[in-house]
Parts: sequence; C-alpha cells; structure tokens
Amino acid sequence: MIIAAVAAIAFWALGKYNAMVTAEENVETAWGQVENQYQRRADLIPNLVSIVKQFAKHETEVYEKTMEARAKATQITIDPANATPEQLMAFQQAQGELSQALGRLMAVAESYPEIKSNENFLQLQSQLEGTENRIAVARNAFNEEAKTFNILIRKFPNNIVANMFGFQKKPYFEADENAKKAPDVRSIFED
Amino acid sequence: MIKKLYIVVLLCLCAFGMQAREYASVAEVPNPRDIDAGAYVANPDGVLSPQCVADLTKISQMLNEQTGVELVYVALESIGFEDAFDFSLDLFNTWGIGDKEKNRGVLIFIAMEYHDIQIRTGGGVEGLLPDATCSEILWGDMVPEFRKGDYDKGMRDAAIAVYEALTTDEAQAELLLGWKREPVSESPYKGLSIISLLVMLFTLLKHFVQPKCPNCKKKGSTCKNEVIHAATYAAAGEGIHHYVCSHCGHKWDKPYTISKLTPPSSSSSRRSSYGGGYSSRGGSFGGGRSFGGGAGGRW
Repeated sequence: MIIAAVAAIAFWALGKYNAMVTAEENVETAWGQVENQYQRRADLIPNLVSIVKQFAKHETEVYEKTMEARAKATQITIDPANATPEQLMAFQQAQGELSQALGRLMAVAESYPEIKSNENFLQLQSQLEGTENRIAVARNAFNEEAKTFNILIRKFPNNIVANMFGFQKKPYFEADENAKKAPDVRSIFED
Repeated sequence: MIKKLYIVVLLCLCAFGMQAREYASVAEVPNPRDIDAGAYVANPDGVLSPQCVADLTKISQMLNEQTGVELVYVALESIGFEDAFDFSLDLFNTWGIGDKEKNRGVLIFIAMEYHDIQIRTGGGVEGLLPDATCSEILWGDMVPEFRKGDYDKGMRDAAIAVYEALTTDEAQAELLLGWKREPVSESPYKGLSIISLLVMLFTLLKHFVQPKCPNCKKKGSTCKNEVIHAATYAAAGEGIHHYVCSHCGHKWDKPYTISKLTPPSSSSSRRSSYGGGYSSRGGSFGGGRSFGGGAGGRW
C-alpha cells in the first residue's frame, strides 16, 4: 500500500519534472530569439554608421558613442537558465543605451537630405525598423514563456518538485524606462 | 407591440452598424474564411471596390497555387487608438495566415482613419520578402496611389509586387522545397498505406484495361510514356503512350493527359483549418505565424 502510494507520487513528480523541463526549454528558445534579434540590430549598425559618416563627417562624437554602446551591448550575454533579474536588467540597460545612441544617429541622418534620399540608407533604415519590431515581438514572447514557466513552478504542490530539482523563477523584461516616463515638458522650454 | 419590437431591433442594428466601423480588437474583424473557404480579402467596410476584391483574390489564388503562400488583405475603416503594428501582428497570428509548418503568409493591412498601412510577413517568407522590399512596396507602390485616393490601384499594385517577388524561379524553388516534406510529417503510415493500395489497384486495373493490339487484337503489350508538358500546380500536362505489342510487335501511340498536381500543403492546411489547434481561435487559414517582419507606415 505504502509502496503503491510512493510509486504514485514518484510518477506524478516525474511528470511534473518533465513538464518543467519542457517549459524551461521554451523559455530558452524564446531567449534565443531575443538574442538573435538584438544581434541582428548590432550587425546593422556599422553599415549605418559608415553611410551617415560619408555625408556628415563632423558628427564624430555621435559615431563614437554609437560604436561604444554597440560594443558594450554585444559583450553582455545571458544564460537564461540561471539569469537573475539584475543580469537581465543590465542586459536591458546596455541595449537601451544602444537604442538611445541609435536614436541620435538617426536624428543626425534626418537633418541631411542627401542621407535621407540615399538608397542604401533607406534600405538599412527599413531593416532597422523591422528589427526593432522583431525585438519587441521576441521580448513579448520571452515574457510569455517565462510567465508560463513561473506559474508552473510556483503553484502548489508543483513548487515542491521545483525546489527539489532547483528550478528558479525566470526574470521578465520590464517596459523601457524611457517609454514609461512622460517627457518633462518644462525642461524643453528652460535654458 | 410588434412595431415597438421592430424599432428596437432596428436601433440595435444601427448601434451594431456604427460599432462595426471601429474595430477595437482583432476578434471583431470578420474573418473572410468564415463565409468563403477560398477568400483572401477582408473588406467589411467596403473600402475597396468589388472589382478590386475580385482582382486581389485572383492574384492570391494564383500565388497560392504556384507557391503555397497565403497572401491576405484586410481593409478597415478604423482601429480606434490601437497600434497598427500590434493590431496587424495580432490579426496575422490569430487568423494563422500561411501554413503551420513553414509560416508562408503575407498580410497587407490598411486602416483608413489614421492612414495606416502595415505589411506583415510570416516567418517563412521573410527571406524572400525582406523588410526593405516591403518598405519599397509600401512607399513606392501604395503610398503614392493612396495619397491620390486610389486605394484599389495601390492595393492591386502591392499585390502584384508581392506576387512578382515570390514567383521568380529562385523564390518558387525555395518556397516549394517545403511541400515535399509536409505529407511525410503529417502521417507517414496513412500516406503509405493509401499509396501502396492505390499502386496495387492500379496494377490490377492496368491488366484489365490494357488495350488490345489493333493489329492482332490480343491483350498484352509493353508501354513507354513520353511526357510532352509536365503537369504543374496550375495546369494539367500532356504525354504520349508508346505501345509495343508483345505478340506481333506492332507499335502504336496514344496521347494522354497528366492531371494537375495538387499541393499537399493546401489540403493539409484546409484540414487543419477545421480540425487544427488554431480553429478554436477562429483562424481558418493555415495556422502560420509572423514574428514581426515586414514594414509599416502612413500615407
């Protein structure tokens, strides 16, 4: 009788363990997509910089900042299985800084009509837009997978199995700080 | 009493009619496949002319026959304050445009109120229809016509541009590559048993149907087939049977037609539209997904 009960529990735990492994695998796949898309963006940047440089030679500071931010962002890699919220935050921050640098680069490009009508630039611009879209989609997908996994491992009695095998809660992407904050209108009119 | 009821019903219809102009969520957009299994255009507000809808459907049918790609158009009056990118992506994935295995779907979406255009590409056509190409179609083919107010022409030109980009020889080769694998992945045993049964039946039949030699009137001849035009997904082919009588050695020819190829993906996608996991979500296309590819803009 006792043996039967233990066997039943063991079977149940086995099933839950497998479900958690699958869910964790999904989180990792989703993370792979996020990294791919960020990498894709990073790959576009040198070409963008070189085109803008051709026409706007004096904006050296913008180029340096962009390449610097790119180097910093590509250095951070995360293992999604053991990532802490702080690590993800650092990753997100580095990518966010790159986004800002890119924003400045595009603003420079906007002020030069020759750049705006350059065929190569237009192509790169549409690819960059597409990549930003894909990043957003991939981040959402990651958050969803992470949520599914987190719910699975935190529900009782699944949490016992999760604790036994050391499954940890996965961090989420937070909405970007800049997007969340309403712009400070007053500061625009000062100075 | 009846008159009152009539008015109430009319009022309800009016309210419904007014609401239908603004689609606050994807679920409110009528799926054209609910009405017609061969439809590709959702034009609930009559933004496009019936002639244009017919043309677009024709282009999509041709594209689907040749490449298996589902090219879908949605023209709405308004999506309120919804973001056009998110809306089009949600629509794409809720309806499941394109086939499930290779995600070969394209959506051209327009919303009149804020002049939104979105071209969404499924995962399987991103390589052939990269964002830069979508952007060229959007700004080069659609926006100039839309600014003139000719939505029909803008849509038609965009559809033709997508069609042309996906039907070059290389593009077709890449897109059709997936078709051979699909029936295997679906159910290898079912396919095998049916095929072997058919082969057995065919050999049996062949014996009975074997033509008599016109010279010695006996059955029993060898036959070689020569293909003149191979069959394609769009048209039937032609060939000639070369018979040699094994009794008297008499030779004679007989022409035959090769029936049109049926793409396995379209049949499987149709099946999944009724029984697959996506049907529960109202999707009646193939179950394909987009990961955000394409281009967007305003005219």
